Amino acid sequence: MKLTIENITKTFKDKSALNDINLELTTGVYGILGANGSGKTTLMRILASVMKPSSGRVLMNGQDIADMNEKYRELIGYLPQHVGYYKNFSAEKFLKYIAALKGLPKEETSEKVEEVIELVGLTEYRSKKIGGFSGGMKRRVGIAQALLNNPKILIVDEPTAGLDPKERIRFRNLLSKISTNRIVLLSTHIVSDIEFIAKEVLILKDGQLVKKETPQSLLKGIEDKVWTLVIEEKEIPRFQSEYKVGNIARVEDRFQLRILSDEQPEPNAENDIPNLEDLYLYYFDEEETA
Amino acid sequence: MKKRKLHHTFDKNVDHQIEDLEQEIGSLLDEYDVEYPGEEQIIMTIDAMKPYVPVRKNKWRTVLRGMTAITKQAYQEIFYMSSLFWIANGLLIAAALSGVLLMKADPYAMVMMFAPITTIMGLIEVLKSRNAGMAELEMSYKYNFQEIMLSKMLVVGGFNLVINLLITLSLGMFYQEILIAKMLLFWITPFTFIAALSLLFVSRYRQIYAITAGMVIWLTVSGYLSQPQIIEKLESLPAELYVTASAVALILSLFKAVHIYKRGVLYEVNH
Ligand SMILES: Nc1ncnc2c1ncn2[C@@H]1O[C@H](COP(=O)(O)OP(=O)(O)OP(=O)(O)O)[C@@H](O)[C@H]1O
Ligand SMILES: [Mg+2]
Repeated sequence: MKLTIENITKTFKDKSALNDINLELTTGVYGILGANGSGKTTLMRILASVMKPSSGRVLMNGQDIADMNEKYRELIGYLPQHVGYYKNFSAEKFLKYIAALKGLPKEETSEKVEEVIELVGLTEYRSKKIGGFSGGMKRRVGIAQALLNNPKILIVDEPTAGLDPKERIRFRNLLSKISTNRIVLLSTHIVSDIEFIAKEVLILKDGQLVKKETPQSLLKGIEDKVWTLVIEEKEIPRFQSEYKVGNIARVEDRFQLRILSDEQPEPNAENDIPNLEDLYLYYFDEEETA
Repeated sequence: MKKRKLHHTFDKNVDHQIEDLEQEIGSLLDEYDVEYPGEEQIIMTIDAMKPYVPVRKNKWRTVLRGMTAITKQAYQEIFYMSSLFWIANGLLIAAALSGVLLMKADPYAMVMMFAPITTIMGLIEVLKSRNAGMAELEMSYKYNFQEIMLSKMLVVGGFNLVINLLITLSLGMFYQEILIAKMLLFWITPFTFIAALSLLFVSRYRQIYAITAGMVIWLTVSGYLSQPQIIEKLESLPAELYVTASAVALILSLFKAVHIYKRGVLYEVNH
């Protein structure tokens, strides 16, 4: 199974959201990292076929998805970044309805609905109205509907945003459980979501794909660029203006700074093992602090 | 320029020059010689180009497939309409019948007034998904946004037809003197007209309050139309006029439905 993204460009009026993206995806989890407005949602919408690219095309096993039409939509499961549900429907009724919209055979529906409800851990609440669900529970309904048709391609846009740490861990575990034999695309701001489950990390910046590598090799790329340094409080502003500064931690009455720099910032700065958080900062610091 | 000169000076020297030139050009062109590709390479090229060859689409098959999909889904939609819709329609039948039977309202005015109300109310159901924020999800399903919307319209319109027929038949049973054909004309015209307008409306707007506005406008118009002197005038109009108006509205509806199906709806995925 192979999803090929060929020269995809998307322009809104005069604003360019995606610029000549070329990618090839095979089974496994792909984490899309990018700052606000970098084009993550736009890319995922095009892959979910709810938006047409301005130019370029997407091929599923060599076939243009625009020609495949509903044959392609049968293969995907999509959870948009912002989505609402019918508040008056119970989780079970809602999923049964979606099963119909996804064209599931009637005789398989009940069993399949039960299976996904169980998978996302909503069995207890299956007959409760979605309107009364918490944010985390709604998100689980969202994942459940995406999984109903046993999709070959699963596209989830910032599924962990706004979830508490426990729900996030739950979600991560769920995702690694369901990621075999599918192409999974997951966008996030939270790097720990994908650190251990992503086969590759895609980094989007201003609509451009700047990196597509395994998390390990991405980390290797900044191996000698992460420094820690203990300084006095009054020195902090100087470092912040000169370097990309990550974590600041209090160490007794002084402060330990985590600095991203190609060169050693101070003679007594020590190299540290990079994590994806550092990586994110390394690529996106300018926008975040500006 | 040179050529013209050659025509009237048959100079041997020039002939030589031309020969030289030909040879030179020939050797220059050799550079661009392309070796004829082998069988294997040709097949490989054809295979590589295959995905780029546009698939010829059978238009009628597409339309037929769409209609089957919409009908199939419409059957499913029936079970997911809100109970409020059914209750409101039950009340509607009761109101129409009691208006004529108990309050002695003009049956023709009554059916005309009630004819499109189910459709107008049904638009709430049709727009429900957009209002709930489900549109982007619906676009990603096998039955896509347009199909889901049209199938809901089909349920609403179909139910509207059933209700109108029921009212016509029950009134016809109570009053022997009522002309069924005239009754039919009196409701089919506004019904088809509103159906066409609704299709136009759902492909453009998504605010539910617009439906309320539509309802108010219709009730005002029909209230005005059902005044005795206006009814008299309406009744004196030739039947051909009603038939033509209905036919035009029906054709418009079908066109709009096909258009919606093919082009999708004016819907911007919002951020
Ligand atoms: N429907 C639209 N109309 C106009 N501009 C748009 C539209 N959708 C996206 N954009 C613009 O395209 C750019 C990319 O947006 P996109 O939503 O893809 O970013 P994102 O990476 O998903 O951001 P976020 O992290 O905030 O979700 C942004 O500058 C955005 O303003
Ligand atoms: Mg986004």
